[in-house]
Amino acid sequence: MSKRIIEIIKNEEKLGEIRLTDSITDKIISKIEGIESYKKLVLLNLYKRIAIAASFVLLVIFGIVFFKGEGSHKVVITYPYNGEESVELVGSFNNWESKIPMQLDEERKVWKAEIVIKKKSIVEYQFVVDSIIYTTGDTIYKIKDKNGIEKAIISI
Amino acid sequence: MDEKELIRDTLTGNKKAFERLIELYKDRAFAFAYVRLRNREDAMDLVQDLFITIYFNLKKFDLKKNFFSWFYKIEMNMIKNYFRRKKNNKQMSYDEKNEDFSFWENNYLSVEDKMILWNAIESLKDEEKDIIFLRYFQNMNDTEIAEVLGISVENVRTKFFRAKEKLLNILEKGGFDYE
Repeated sequence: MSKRIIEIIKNEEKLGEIRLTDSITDKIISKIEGIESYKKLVLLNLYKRIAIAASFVLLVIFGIVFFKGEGSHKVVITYPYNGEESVELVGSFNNWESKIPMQLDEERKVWKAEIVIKKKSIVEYQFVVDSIIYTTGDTIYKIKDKNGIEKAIISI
Repeated sequence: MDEKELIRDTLTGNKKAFERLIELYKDRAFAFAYVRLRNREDAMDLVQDLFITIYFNLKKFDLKKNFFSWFYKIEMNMIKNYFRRKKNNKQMSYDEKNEDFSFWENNYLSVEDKMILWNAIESLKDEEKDIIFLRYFQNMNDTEIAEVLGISVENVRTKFFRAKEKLLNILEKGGFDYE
């Protein structure tokens, strides 16, 4: 072993240069480009999947809205005004669960309420006058249920 | 163009800027890897993976900080992972022991001297190896080494003194650590 090594270490001289003689720059850039292409591909596939899923969801929403609209109709029920304080509508269109307040059209002298009726269904209803009297008014189409109670009917 | 400008350009997608950054750092990255791995092929593979990692993480680098220090930490982590995979970091193949050190430019040391010196460096602890490498191959002063290693200047001085003494002791015994 040459004494020179010990001198270098003692004197804290530079031990020379270590050089990477092989060319690696092109290899690295090529690998980076490969990874980038792969990442783009993965991202593209992800976007495609998201687009397909989103289209499906939109289709379902559209279908629900469209077919729901197709199968039902809005109907305006009227009751002639005769000085009542209030008139409400109750019926099978909402399973008799709540009373719908009717609005007074003062010009036409008539109480009005809008309900949604499914196509081809028969809806039974009654008017509740001043929160007390249950009546079918002067409706032409009416039936009597098994308890003899009169109910107006409508069908589309 | 300095390294910070090269980093900025790389971040805008300029591959040529990154090529220049590779050219600037590839030798020291390789030297560092070789000091620890003592396997030329593995060190070269590690350097390639290192630059790829650097490229994809460059946006995380704080431009106000020292690039080599950041670079060094990533390389250190990759070296640790390498040894975790390899499990036994002391094993060397016959070819590696007979390395011709053609990558080591030094006009006044013979291949035999280089081999003795390298073996002596190898018997040091990892942190001592790093300090010796940064001082003797990278020509860094205490402050620069402290910045790269993330330790105090005082700590560098103490550790360098010990590493140097240890190295001299091994070399004076003929290049072998008899401990």
